[in-house]
This record gives sequence, C-alpha cells and structure tokens, in this order.
Amino acid sequence: MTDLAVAKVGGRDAAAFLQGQITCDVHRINEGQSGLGAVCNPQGRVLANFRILKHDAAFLLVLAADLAEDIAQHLRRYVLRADVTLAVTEWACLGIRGELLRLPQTPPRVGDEIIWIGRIAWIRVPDTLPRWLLLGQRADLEAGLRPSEAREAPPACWRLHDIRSGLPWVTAATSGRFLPQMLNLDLLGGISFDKGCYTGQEIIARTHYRGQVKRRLYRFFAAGAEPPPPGTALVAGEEGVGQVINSAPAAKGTELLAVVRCDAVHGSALRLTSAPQHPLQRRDLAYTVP
Amino acid sequence: MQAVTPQQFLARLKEEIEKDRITLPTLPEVALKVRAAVEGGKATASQLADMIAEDAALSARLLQVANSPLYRARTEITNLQMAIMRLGYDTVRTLITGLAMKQVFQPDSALLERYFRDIWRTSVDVAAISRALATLTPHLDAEHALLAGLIHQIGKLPILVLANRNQALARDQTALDRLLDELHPAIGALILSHWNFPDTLRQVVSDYRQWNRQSPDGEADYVDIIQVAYLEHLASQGEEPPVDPTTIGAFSRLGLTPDIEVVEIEGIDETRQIFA
Repeated sequence: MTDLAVAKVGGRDAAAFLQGQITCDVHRINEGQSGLGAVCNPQGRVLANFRILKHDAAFLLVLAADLAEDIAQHLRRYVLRADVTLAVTEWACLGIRGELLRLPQTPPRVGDEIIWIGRIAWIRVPDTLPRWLLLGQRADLEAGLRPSEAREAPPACWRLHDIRSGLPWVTAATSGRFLPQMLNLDLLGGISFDKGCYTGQEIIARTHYRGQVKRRLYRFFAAGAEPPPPGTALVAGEEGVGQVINSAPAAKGTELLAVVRCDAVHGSALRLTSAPQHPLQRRDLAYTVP
Repeated sequence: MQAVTPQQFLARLKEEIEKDRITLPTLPEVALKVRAAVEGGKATASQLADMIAEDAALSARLLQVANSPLYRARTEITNLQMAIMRLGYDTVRTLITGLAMKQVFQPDSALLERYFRDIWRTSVDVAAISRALATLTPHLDAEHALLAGLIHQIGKLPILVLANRNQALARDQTALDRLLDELHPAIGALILSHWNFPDTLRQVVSDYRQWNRQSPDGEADYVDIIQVAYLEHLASQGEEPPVDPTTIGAFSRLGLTPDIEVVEIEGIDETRQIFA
C-alpha cells in the first residue's frame, strides 16, 4: 500500500522518549501487541495518528506516507541529548483480507495482535471479518506471498475497510487540526488517560474530563459522488460543519469519514462542498459514538 | 421394556422424534440469532451487539471471555462492540454458541441432573484441551475446536430424556450406559443436522469413537483433535482408555506422541473456568 509508510524510533531512550510524545501508553506495546496512537502538537491537535509496534528494541510507527518525513523531523526537535534515532524506513505495508491460505504459522486471530512469520509482521486489524496489515521489506513481502493465491486490489479497497471500521488516517491535508477525541481515537483505545504527561496532553486530558468533545468522527455515504480529497468541507446549508478525513470509492458512490460538529450531525442535511448535488447519508460506525 | 437392543432403542427414539413426542435439544434464542446474522453476512457490529445484549448473562460472559488471558486484551474491553471488533464475527459466533450451550445441558428432572452435569463437565474438559491443541495446529481454528469439544457428547441428552420415561431402563444402569455409549454419536449427528451446524462438527460427533479412522486428506482434522483431547481427558481422570493410544493415527497427524502431557499447554485452565 503506497499511502502508508513505516517510521522507526530506535536507540536506548526510545521508549522514554516516545512516552513523552504520543497519546498511547508505550509500556503496553510489546512484541506481540500493537496499538493505536497519535503525535500531537502542544495545542493537542493530531499531527499524525499511527499504529505502533515493537520490534528489536525499536518502535515502528505505521502512518500516512505523505506525513512520515514531517513527523520524523518534528519528533527530532524533541530528542535533545537523548539516545534516540528517528528515520522513515524503506519498509512497505500490505493489506490482506479474507480466508487464508495455508501458512507455516497461524496468523494472529485477535485484534491488535502481531505474529512474525519469517521476516514479515502480521498484525490483525480489529474488524468484524479477518484482515491483516503486513509489514516488511518490499522484497520479503513480494517473496513471501504467492500472487496466484490472492486477488490484488487497489489501496482504496483497504481504505474502505478502515473507513467502515471507523479508523481514520490523518494525512497532510488534515494534520494539526483535530484533537484525538475528535478522531475517535479515545473510542479506538489510542489514548491513555493515566500514562502521565506528553506533548499536548494538558488540553487532551481537560477535554476528556470536562466531557466537552463537540466534534466527532462519523461515517457517511454519498450516492453517485466521487471520493472527495481529505480536508474537503462539509456544510449544512451555508454553514461549514466539518471536514473529510478519508474517503474511498464504494458501490454506487463514495464512503467517507469526516469530523463533524455533533450538534449538526443529527437532522440537518449535510453536503460536501466538492459535490453539493449529492446529499450525505450517515452510516453506522463499528462502535458507538457517545 | 425388557432387554432392549441399541438398534431397537434407536428406532424407537427416531420414531418419538418424528412424532414430536420427544424434542431434540434446541439452541438458545440468542445463539440462533447471532448464527443467522453472521451467516447472512449483512449485520453490522452494532446490530450484532444489540442482539447479544438481549441476553444480559451471555453478554457479561462474552466480555469476560474477551478480557480473559486467552485473548490477551491490551486495554479493557468494556462493551460488546469492542469485543466484536477485536475478536471478529467468526470467533464471536462460535463463542456465543459455546457459551449458550450450557443452557442446553440444563435438565428438567432431578433424575437426569447428575448425568447431564457429568456430561457437561467432561465436555468442558475435552473442549478446553481441544482448544489448546488447535492453537498448536496452524490450519485448525481454536474456537471451532472448543465448540466441537462442548458438543461431542450432545447425543447423550435425548437418550437420557427417553430413558427417563422408562422406569426399568432408568434403573438398569448397565443397560443405560451401554445405550449411551453406543448410540450417542448417531443421535448427536442428528441434532447437529437439525441445528444446521457445519459438516466438520457433525463429523466430530459421529466419528470421534472410530479410533482407526483415517482423515480424508491425511491431514489433522477436528475429529483428530477431539480423539486426542478425549483420551487426554480420560488419562487425567485416571480412567482406562477404550483404545491403546499408540495405535491411533490422530496423535501423529497432530504431530504429537501419545505420552506427551497435553494438559500442560497454556490456556486449558482458563478455558475450563470460563465454561464450567
């Protein structure tokens, strides 16, 4: 998949360093368990969200490819004298969905779990039907899977399944705009509220304890519409009420995730500024938005 | 009824079933709904969660399972939708069926209670060992093996219900035990057909006592798992095995030798506790 990249945070102080920079608890990530999280700016806005895993005493962050270099650069500014290395790797990502072919080992069966099969990390993505995110060197991924057994699909197909499970990916167009709760990262287990301080934590925690999340991530369907680019505005009448985070073509239209004002999502007719002739229909997420 | 042969009894039981005078065990409502919804392929995670939520006890136990060490939860799973997303549809369907199965083993007469309780206890033990064995076998599913264990002796239930109506038989322990032993695979297969369970499970129920069987493609299957688990269960109870374990093919197909201590595989106690 070309829209995801893998960044590596290594060095003796990697865990302590990350603990001060990301929303999830690094100590709950281990060789067998991955998790979701985000890097935020001091205002608590998400610069990028990621799936994090541990490998060879380093951490790997899977994040939007168009942000990876910027995030590495951003994090380097906080390293100071700590023993931490930061780099975007050459690793590639591959998504696999459906019933599996015979493998030398059983791939993980529970959401977030990781099993290494050869030199490829198999991460079970939480979803109702089995799918796995595979990480590895491009050559290993190509060698490790026989194309005859699987049908290839474009990256947008994988994105559609992320949209249906309510999993957002912040990209360059939406970086630095939303609190992690607005992206439902709290509902996805991507924020720890008892891990201590990290960049942006004060605002994120205050929003949480005051229960004042006024915008949330919702899923929509637009019949007949083309996928709008991330950042496209959603309007109710003339008023801007939200923004597209991710979109993908679906049968007879487009499915998308958008951060929308909670008071505008019920009742009002929402439209995309990119395709005002196609009204948006709200669709269920895989979890309940409070 | 004097000295009834198993064949006569089986014929009689089938007749009673056909005439609706004896009903086969039924799956609890929630399990039926969840199975239909998953197989229909249309239900969303929240619809499935709503269905499960109708049975509060079952919901609580599903959350308990999802948070158990068997599924290594990183963060606490506090609602059904989270559990469904983490475990996936197939696992949830199988777990709900398994959790609901205990209700099938609730007898309506005191006479049957001891029998039902013993069968359930054996089934849970065999199920726990089966699940652990399946986790060691890449192409077999752990929850499917668990469910196979829970139902492998289900055919005994209608036999007991009919025997309960026959004072002579109910008092003749030896005759009853013989009927149970010989007939439960066939009756069990009948129940699973009635429930529309997959062939792999029906095969387990009908074939697990055929010790000399070969698996169709020479690879380990669920019947092998149950055979090994059943023998391990007997061994752990200090009971004599009905067959010499070194002579059956199931062990080698699973890559095991009959003298290994299967009971030490991780997760057996956890599974036992959940279903006990």
